[in-house]
Amino acid sequence: MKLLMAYLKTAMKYIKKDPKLLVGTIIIVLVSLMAIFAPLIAPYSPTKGNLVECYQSPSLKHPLGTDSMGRDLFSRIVFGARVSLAIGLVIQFLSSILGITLGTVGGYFGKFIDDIIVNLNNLMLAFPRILFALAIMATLGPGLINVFIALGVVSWTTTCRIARSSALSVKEEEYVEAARAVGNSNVRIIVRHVLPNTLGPLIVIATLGVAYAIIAEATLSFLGLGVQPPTPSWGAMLSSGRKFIYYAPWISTFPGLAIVATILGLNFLGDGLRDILDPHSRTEGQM
Amino acid sequence: MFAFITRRVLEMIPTIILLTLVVFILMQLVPGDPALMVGDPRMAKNPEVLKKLREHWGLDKPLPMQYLTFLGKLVQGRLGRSYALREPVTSVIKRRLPVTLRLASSAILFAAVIGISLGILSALYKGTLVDLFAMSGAVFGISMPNFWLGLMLIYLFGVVLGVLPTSGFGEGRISHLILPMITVGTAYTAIITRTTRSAVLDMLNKEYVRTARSKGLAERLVVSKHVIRNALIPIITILGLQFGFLLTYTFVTEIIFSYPGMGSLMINSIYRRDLPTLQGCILVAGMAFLVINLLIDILYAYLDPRIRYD
Amino acid sequence: MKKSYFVITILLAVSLTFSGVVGFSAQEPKQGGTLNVAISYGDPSTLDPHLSSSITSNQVIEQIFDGLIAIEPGTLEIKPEVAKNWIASADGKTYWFKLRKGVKFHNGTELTASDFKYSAERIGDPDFASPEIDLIVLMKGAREYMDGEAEEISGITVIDKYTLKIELTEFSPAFLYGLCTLDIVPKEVAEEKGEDFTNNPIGSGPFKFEKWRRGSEIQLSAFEDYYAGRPYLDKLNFKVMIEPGARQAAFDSKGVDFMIADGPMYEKYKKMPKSKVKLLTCAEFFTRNMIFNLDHEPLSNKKVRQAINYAIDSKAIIDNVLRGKAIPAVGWLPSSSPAFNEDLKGYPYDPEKAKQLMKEAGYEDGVTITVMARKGGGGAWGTRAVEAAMPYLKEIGVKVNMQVRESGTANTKAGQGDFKAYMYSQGGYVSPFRYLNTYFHSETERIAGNYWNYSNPEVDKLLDKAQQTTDYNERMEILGEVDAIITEDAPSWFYNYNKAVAVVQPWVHGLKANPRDNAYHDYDKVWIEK
Repeated sequence: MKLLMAYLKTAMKYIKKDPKLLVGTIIIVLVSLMAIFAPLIAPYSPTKGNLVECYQSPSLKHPLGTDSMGRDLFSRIVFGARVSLAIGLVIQFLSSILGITLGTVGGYFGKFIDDIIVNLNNLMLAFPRILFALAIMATLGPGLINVFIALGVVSWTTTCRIARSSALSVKEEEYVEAARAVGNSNVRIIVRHVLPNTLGPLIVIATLGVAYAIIAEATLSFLGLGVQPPTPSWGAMLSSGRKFIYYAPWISTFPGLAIVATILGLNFLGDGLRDILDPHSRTEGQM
Repeated sequence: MFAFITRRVLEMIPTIILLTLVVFILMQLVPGDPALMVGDPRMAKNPEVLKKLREHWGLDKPLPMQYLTFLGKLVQGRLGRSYALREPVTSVIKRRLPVTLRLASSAILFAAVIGISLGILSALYKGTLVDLFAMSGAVFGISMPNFWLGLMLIYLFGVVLGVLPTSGFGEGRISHLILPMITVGTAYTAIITRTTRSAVLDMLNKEYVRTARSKGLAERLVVSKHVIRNALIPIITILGLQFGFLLTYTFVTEIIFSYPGMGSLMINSIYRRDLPTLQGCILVAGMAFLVINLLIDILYAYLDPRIRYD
Repeated sequence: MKKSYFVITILLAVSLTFSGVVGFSAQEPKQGGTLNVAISYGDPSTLDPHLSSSITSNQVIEQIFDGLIAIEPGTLEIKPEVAKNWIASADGKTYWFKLRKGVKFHNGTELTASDFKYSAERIGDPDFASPEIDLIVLMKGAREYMDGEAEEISGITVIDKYTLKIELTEFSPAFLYGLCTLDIVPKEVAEEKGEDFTNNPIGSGPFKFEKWRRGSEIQLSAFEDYYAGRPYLDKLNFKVMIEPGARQAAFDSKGVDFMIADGPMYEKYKKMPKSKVKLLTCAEFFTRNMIFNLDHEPLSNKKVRQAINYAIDSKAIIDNVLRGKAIPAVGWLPSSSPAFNEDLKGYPYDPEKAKQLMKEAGYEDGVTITVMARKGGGGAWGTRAVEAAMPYLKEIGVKVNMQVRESGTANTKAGQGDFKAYMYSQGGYVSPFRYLNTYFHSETERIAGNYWNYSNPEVDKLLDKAQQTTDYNERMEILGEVDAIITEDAPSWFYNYNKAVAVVQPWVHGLKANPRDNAYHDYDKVWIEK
């Protein structure tokens, strides 16, 4: 906790210096506020529409227009912030837990456990990620929870690699050896000494991971297997609205812009954080 | 070195076999009968045809048998026949792979040119508005979901400006490649820009660069001579890695632009439950990925003799 | 030879067609030019006519290959093709076909009766696993041949080079329609190439195969020696454009001359002046409906099913969501079907009556139904159709729980009866008998089309009667009656018939809307004014 506070303090210092960090933070705070206060901001229901009002262009009544079911697009985008942020955060949370557990265990214990985990990691890398998720979605069927599972299960490789290498390097440190000599259990050592050391780089990875998950959900929707309608996720709105791209361009443009702004914000935040927390890393992520 | 390569190649074999097993199991889990996917989905199917097709494909045999039959063929270098296309998978892939390779390599080249330039610029002017704009430009590419970017490009270049063809392979003409290339490439500029930026920053802080500067050499010369050359290792690594991923990540673009590569084939194979084709594609893509990784490691050893292999 | 023969529809179709073309435009047809057609539904998987049973491939295959007979796109009547005429026995079990002389395959060899026999046997070949065996299964001896017990299909007799006799095990009103899609391949070439025939298909159709870049483009060129005269066009290209936006961009930038439009696209082009764009519109043979699984409560209750039909304002959904690109359904058979029952009124929007029916059925406190839907359809049949129906159903206490399933999963579940209600689009058969029998005969297996598990002895009786009725008008009458009974039973929510819209560049002449599927056209009659 102390460590985190220290990080935050430095972050505040850097925010002032680094314009990217500033822009990123502002965007993300705004989007988060939109998600939290969605029912207060949105003038209409995000899921109920009026058929007579479908495909309406932006007007005073519907500031961003209406979609193909006559639903208010602005309300859907506001509520969509909830869904899309949830998608990003939950998936990143799931994959972080998977990645950190596997990576730390592998790095700390070494030997054949490590071999298995390294090979598993390589296998995941060699397997087209979205395709894997697509197959999982086809098995489970579309839906928000299933998107969490499908993308959570396939997105842990980078986290795992970083957690593993930190664990490897920390393992040999004197204080860890000392802790072991005193008779601390492995779990305790991992939690107290190994994990905190991985946190820095992982925060950066997580920020970008959230962005990745939002885009990945849009891609799954494009392929026909995302969240289930009428759930207003930005990805699903963009993907289903693309059919009308020349007829009613607002239906896809506004959710698209919402995605672009959020991803941009997350990336700025991630880049800014990287400069502070982890200046030497090279992220070998994949889109 | 030779021993190292041999060992690495041998190590690939279990990974590859595991990969095929995962694909096999995954496709067993996905509900849906491949026989039902033949023909028009809107029309009813003759149960007799369904049965015949299943027998024809050997789907009436027990699952372990099916998998072992596949492995047996694989050892002989055969990948079986596609359910949906009724052709040997090898000839299907032979037709599709070069198209994807073409798209992927041009896209990575595009991303490299843009990414490296932006990266150097943003490192040299770290923390300034130039840095902000360069990074924004790079990041903008990954912020736009690929299919949306593709459609926007189609609208801009195809409809408004009317200067570029928006669909198809066009017998391999460059004009047909440009829009798909930009669509795929843009998504990769961000990571290359980032890598370049941090690599250059790293180098700028190195002692010998500082020395070179203090000696009075023109700044530009310092940058070009020392910094960029030394920053090249991480950049090449990232380019290679991304290329490995790219082979399977062009599918969205391929679908939008009807660019007939392996990516769209893979997606269609999942939809059609065409296991042999999917197996073949993932096998090829997975192998390409592993080989590229090996090449990167070898390159590493070549560029940086300090790295030892044991 | 006591049998009396009668001629079945010796058609004036050809002359009709030509007058149609001339009527379309006062100009003389011009020779030359390239027509670019967008393929909208998917990537053709094969060009082997005997391995394909999908519209995506068949719209191309029909240009390369000919059958004995064919379906006229506009009127849907059966017209001569390679066979110049035919006669049938009174019991409708034996057919004699007289082939044209001098019909050439693209490789220059002459098409003869034995090529037809070979083609039928190729489909039946047990090792070939063709999905098209429906086309031959009624022929005498086909069963034995398919089971590997006979060397040939004994029901096909090659009397001489230009005369064929086909014997059936029973009369079927659908047989001739099936025969229209039995494409004739040259024996020597197909035998030599085997399954590789798909890469270099050779037929006797108006266009010959040039080049195929899979997933992108198929190029055909005019066949100089076509029996009905060389087509006007020099080249015919099919371009795969699945993404609606890309397709529209290509059309607007004049990269394609023909494409299938969906809802909002239709509205856009409808508003454009005729000099800018031509629209081909017709009621297509597809019934968009919500299949009710009759095995489960509450949908096993006829009153509930009727209530649902009354409760939804199909017309309002069509007008708004689909921008008028559909025709409200009044029963199962589409309004373009020859057996369409003019007396059917369907279920007008009447929420009060619906509530009343729900009450009578004992569900006045409401009920929840799970509806399986697949992505796509743009509101005509997919998830959006269900979304649009939901608020209406809520009004009468029916809560809808939508379950989105991917196409392959949905197909399989539908075939297994593993669903409560299923929103989709069925049809595609020109023969109204098949259009009904495939879906509603109680002996049809679930996977073969009877997804409802529908069983009505009266319908069975009438369908069996129709099957044996050789008189065309009488048969249509019976089938219209069947449709009325089914409509009353309401095994589905009858939503709409597709209004197929093809968008054509103004300089293209000679195309006609085709209810069979608006992607099928006789491109040899098409010419370009430029």
